[in-house]
Parts: sequence; structure tokens; C-alpha cells
Amino acid sequence: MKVNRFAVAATAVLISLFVGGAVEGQTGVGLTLSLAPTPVQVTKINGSGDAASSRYSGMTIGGALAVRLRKLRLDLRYLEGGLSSDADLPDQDIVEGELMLGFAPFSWLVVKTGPHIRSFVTSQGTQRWVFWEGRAALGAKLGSPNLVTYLEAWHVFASDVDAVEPFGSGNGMEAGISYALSRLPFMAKLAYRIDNSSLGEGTSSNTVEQLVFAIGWLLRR
Amino acid sequence: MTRRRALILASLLAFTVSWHPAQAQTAVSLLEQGINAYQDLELEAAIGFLQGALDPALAQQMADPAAARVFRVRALTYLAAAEALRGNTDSALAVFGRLVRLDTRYRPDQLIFPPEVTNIYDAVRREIKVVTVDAPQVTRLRLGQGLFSLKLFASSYHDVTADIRDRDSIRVRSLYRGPIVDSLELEWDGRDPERLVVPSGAYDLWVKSQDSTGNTVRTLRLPLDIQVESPDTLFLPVEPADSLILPEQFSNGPGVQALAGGLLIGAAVAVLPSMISSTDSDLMGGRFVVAGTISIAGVATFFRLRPGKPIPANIESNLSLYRTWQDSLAIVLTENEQRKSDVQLVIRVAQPSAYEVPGR
Repeated sequence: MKVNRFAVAATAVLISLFVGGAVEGQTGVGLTLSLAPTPVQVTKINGSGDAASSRYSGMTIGGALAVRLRKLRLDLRYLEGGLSSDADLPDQDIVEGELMLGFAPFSWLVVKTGPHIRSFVTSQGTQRWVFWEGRAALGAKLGSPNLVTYLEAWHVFASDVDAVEPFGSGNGMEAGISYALSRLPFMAKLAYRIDNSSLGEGTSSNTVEQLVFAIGWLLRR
Repeated sequence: MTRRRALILASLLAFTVSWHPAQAQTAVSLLEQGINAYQDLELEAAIGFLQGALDPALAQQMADPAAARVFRVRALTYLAAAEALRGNTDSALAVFGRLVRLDTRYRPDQLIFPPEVTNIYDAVRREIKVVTVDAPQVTRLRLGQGLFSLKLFASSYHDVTADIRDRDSIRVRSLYRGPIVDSLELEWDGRDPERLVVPSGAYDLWVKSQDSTGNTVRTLRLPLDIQVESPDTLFLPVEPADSLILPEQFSNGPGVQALAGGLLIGAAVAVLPSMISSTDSDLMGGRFVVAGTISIAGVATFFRLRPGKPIPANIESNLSLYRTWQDSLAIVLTENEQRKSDVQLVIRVAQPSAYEVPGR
């Protein structure tokens, strides 16, 4: 499917108008370390038609590290787990990691870039996708700096994939809500994440969805 | 050191040490010789010695003012007595006049001087309208708790006016108007007629002696240096700045932002994934849980922070801030009132001077 980029951009602008300045107080120095059991569903489409699609689902476990130093951000994320096919296809494992370097020109906006690597491991071999992504994250404070909702969208501007066809396009988004305790250094996050990457003209694609329940340790200065 | 140099040095030292005592000794010696001559009724010689003793050049050599005053009183008394006994009544009157002006309280000893002398003195004292003043050199008085006291002594009964004036001769406070018989005690609280403390500066006590017709015959001026000393007052604590006052009601901003942000991001979670991928998903339920959670959080925050809703914590904080300021203000005001009332006046008195009105 072709992403309606105009709709995505318009939504982002609209959100930014309302959430602008809402996450003040998030600057300074901070560090978040979180651990998340993450249900993952992968839908693979090879060719056209429903018969060509296969769906895998499973539970992964992952962790994330976010470092905030004034306007700079560094996000590290890693997860891995096993996936089972809805059909009688062989199981496969998913291993995923990303390293994003970000800059926050405003307290409510962070732009990021970095590599995002995903591997599907089967008994026949490993298919590795390397995405170079550009991201924009909008934050909205819900009355208090401790309760924040956010929307992050990204676009893959370069990729390297172990496949016959060349890389086509890739997009994704993550949205969620996080709550940090006032007096204790802990936080919790609930988020939904989806990305789609396609090969060639888009006849082959992978859609990966994740539901993130994260509990983390938070250091604020 | 050679013997000659030691001799010169010793001579110079002896000359320096002995110079002034030698002069004073001369005045005292002349007085003693004058008294001896008076007692021997060698009046002409007595007058000569005593006039010599009263030579201002010699009198100035006496370092102690009180001793010099006693010396002059004694010399003038014997000089006037010698002039009186010699028949020079006018001279006796003039000398006794000097004596009365010098010390109004003095009376010649009637056991030493005959009535024809003391009678002349009494006549002069009755005729001359003079006052002298006796005041402490330095007076420290705490405002409202003390007074600047001084005493006037009159040669004879007459009317006087006593005023405190500034250096422009403008009257600051009138202390007394009326008769003085022998002595009169004056007191001043350091304030002007409006009960205000006089500012620091140079002032004078003017005592004017008047004759029977009310004309001023003599003015006594006593310079006063007045310093008003008061402790510095404390700065008043500044009212809490507006920047420190917390909003006591929720404004439109936070609630509406939370509502709009929550609903828009919730809607984005519901809508955007279908733009990214058209595949059906078993995680659809989870996606809408996230979208709903974000939206509900936004709506709940809006109601929690709805515009106009009082913020009790901020109200209490502002009240506490204001009370703290008021308490500290009250303390400082009380302290300042105490400091303002704790004013000290230091009054220093210089040598008095007197002016006779010519022809009276």
C-alpha cells in the first residue's frame, strides 16, 4: 500500500499545533532504562493476493535505553523472540535493534536519525533488513510532565536487505503514553508500533506490529 | 660627645623647660606683691602690681582656664578695692564691672574687704544686667527620656530671653522669657515647637539680658554642636513578585492542550496504521486500547484541569507566601519603629561669648 504522505504530514502539523510547548521541563539530563514484553505480529506478503501472505505472531522481550542531555537524545532499543506461523510454515525468530541519535529543537519535538536493523532467523538462514531512518516525534504533556503522550513517525530513506529484489520503501509510527512516578524513579509505558517495508514495486512487504508494555527506571536531573 | 657640646645641649633644654612656668610665675608673683602692697595700704604700688598681673600677655600663659579665672577674679577684686580705697570710685566701678561680667556668682569676702568696697561692688552688681551660663561640655540624651539642662546665673534681677537659634539666627525654640533673680535652670528636649527633633548641625543658645525698659543690653551666645544619632532602619521586605504567585485557577491552556493532544494522538493511533499498512491485524485490539487510553487520559486531564477550576495547592502556597511576607513585614515595621524612637542627641557646648549693646 502506498502511504498517503500528505495525510501523515497534515496530521503531524495539526498535532504539533495543539501539543506545542506541552512537554516543557523535559530538557536537562535524563536516562530511561526499560524492559518490555512485547507481543509482535509480522505479516509477510509475497506477490499479490491473500494466498501469498503469511502471518507470524509471538512474544518477544526487549529493552530500551534513552539518554537525554539537554537538547540531545540517544535512543537504543533491542528485542528478540520467537514467531509462530498461523499456517503450517516453519517458525522463525525475530531479532531487532536500533540506535537513534536525536535533537530536540523544541521541547515538544524531537528529530532523530539512525540505523534500525531487523533479522528474521529461520533454519534455512537469516534475512537481515538494515534501515536508515529519519524520525520525528511529537510529545504532549497531559497536565503534568509526568504524564506524556507521544507520536513518532518515520520514513526509511536508505536500506540494505538480503533479498533478490531491491528495497522499495519503508514507513512506520509509534504512539503511546508514558507515566513517570513523581517520587520514585520508575516509569511505565504503553505503546503501539507499526512499520511497513516493501521490496521492489511493493508486491513483497513486511508489516511488523508491536504492542509495548514497558516498565522502566528513570533518572532525572 | 665633647664637654662643650653637652653644656650647650643642657642649656637649651633648661631654657625650653623653664620658659612658660617662668612667665606664669611672674603673673602670680605680681598678684602676690599687689596683695601684699594692698594689705600694707601701699595702694599706688598695689594698683601697679595688680594691673601688671592682669596684663593679658601674662594671663595667656596660664594653661588651666579654671585657675586663670580664679586668678583674674582675685586680681580684679584687689584692684577694685585698691582703687576704691584710693578714692578712684570710677575706676573701682569699672573694675568691678569687669568682675561681675566675669563671674556673676562671685561676692567679695566681707571679712577681708571693708564695706565701702563691698558696697560699691553690690551697687555695680545691681546696676549691671548680666548672666553667665553653666552647661555640661557634652550631653547625651535619648529622645523622650532626657533633657539638655543648663543653668543661668544673673548678676541681678532683670528680664531675660533664652532661645535656641540656628546659625542663620533663626529661632528654633524659645526656652524662656521672663525675669531672673539669682539663677535659672533651663531644659530643652531637643525638639522644635512642632515636637520635631532638630536636625544635626550648629546652633546657639542666645540669652538676652534686658533693662527695665525692655531693651536688650547684653547678649550671651553659647555655641551648641548638635548631632542627631539614630540607628539605620531596616529595608522593608519586598512583596512577593508576581512571578512567585502561582495561578489559583486553571487557565485554558493545560486542560485544552491535554484534551486536544490526547484526542489527536489517540485518533492518530487509530487511523495512521491503516495508512502505513493495509494488512489485517490481530493486534488491532491492542492498538485501540492504546488509542483509547491516550484519548481517555486527555479527556480526564481536561476535566481535572478544566479552565476556572480552583487549584487548592496553589491557593494555599500563595497564602503561605503572603503570610510569610506579612509576618516579616510586621517584624521589620516594629523593629523600625523601635529604631526610629531610639534617637540620641549629642550636644556639645563651646566657649560662650558675650556682646554688650553700646551705650546701654
